[in-house]
Amino acid sequence: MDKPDDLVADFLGDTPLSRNALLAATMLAATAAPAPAPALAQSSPIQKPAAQKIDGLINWVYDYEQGRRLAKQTGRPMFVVFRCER
Amino acid sequence: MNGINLDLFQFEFDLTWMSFFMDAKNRIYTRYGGRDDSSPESHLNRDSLLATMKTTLRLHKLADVLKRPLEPTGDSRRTPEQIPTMPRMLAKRKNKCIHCHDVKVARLKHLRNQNKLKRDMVFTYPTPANLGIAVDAKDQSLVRSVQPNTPAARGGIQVGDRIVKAENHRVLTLGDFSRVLETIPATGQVQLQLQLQRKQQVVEVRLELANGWRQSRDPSWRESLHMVGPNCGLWGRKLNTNERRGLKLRADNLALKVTFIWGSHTRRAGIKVGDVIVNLDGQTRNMNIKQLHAHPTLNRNWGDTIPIVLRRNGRNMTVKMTFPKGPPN
Repeated sequence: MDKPDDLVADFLGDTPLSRNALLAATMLAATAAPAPAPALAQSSPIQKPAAQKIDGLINWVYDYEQGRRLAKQTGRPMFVVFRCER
Repeated sequence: MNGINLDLFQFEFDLTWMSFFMDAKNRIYTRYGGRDDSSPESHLNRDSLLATMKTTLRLHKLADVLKRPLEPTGDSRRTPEQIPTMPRMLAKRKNKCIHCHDVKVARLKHLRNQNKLKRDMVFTYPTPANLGIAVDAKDQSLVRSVQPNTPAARGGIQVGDRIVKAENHRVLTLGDFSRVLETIPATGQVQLQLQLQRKQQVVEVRLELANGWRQSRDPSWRESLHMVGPNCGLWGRKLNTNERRGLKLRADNLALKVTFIWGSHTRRAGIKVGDVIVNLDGQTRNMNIKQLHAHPTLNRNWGDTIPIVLRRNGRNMTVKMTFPKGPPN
């Protein structure tokens, strides 16, 4: 059975497909930092817990808007993940 | 889910893992994730994820995103915190973390407060299994089997067919298919249009879906299920083989040992920790605790009374449990 690292290595590895089009890996965890909240949310703010970061070969981005900026700069698509972390 | 734009990220909130492949303009190429009733990881695997990544790279070069209006824009930003019932749900929670299922529970609570909650609202994001189709876990647009006497069988879908489009929307994954199915009404005689690739041919089929088509056989995994009906107010575990043998209970019979009681209606019924439930409201099939709760939640109403057969001190005894008149506030 493949280890998770093998998948990451394949995903990021030196294949003809991925060499020139490496995906911008963007992770939105359940605790991801939100974009500026609308007025209603601001009027009754709920304290947000910090994201639990993941070790591994991928440098996950925990803020969606930051991921978008990165995708725009690099011209790459995003892989946006929601996971239950607690 | 704190602060997440629900106008953009719409998915099955009972899941514990879901992903989207998108561009920088909030547009979606494909969804990857979803499950059937059997396992949370039934359709999560290395091969299908890698194939989806490769397809996404190809689609990205062509800017071939999923088409609106099915796909959300994210322009009408709304967050979980704005659901009227959410602040109260989080008030007692130490870390204030909004889980995916909290979004669905808060919405259902809000509907309940407005007297608009219906039981079948818990069956969100149906899967191809609801049509009688099992898609391949690794190649998720490929039909691996078709159940007889189902909409898919009646519609002529065959093993080996590849689902290309549903309601004219591209289907690459279970998540894509489920997204389209979510838009199909729960009741009434409704139709679903599918475009299939069958060997070298493109085939169009139309499936007839009857009332209740969204319900699945075992929805006990859904965290939001408790919102739509009463439960038994207890925790328990299945007896193991030796324990069953000692009590002369068959392997396929319900045998659930009560380990914790939280419901006052449960105590009033006379149920005690250590009792073994062998029959609940006429149900004797082997169930785990979530499946046990799902039976009254989906089939009985608040205030109903059901019989429960317990094995206590080697003897069967029948008690009657009356559910509370309404859900807790």
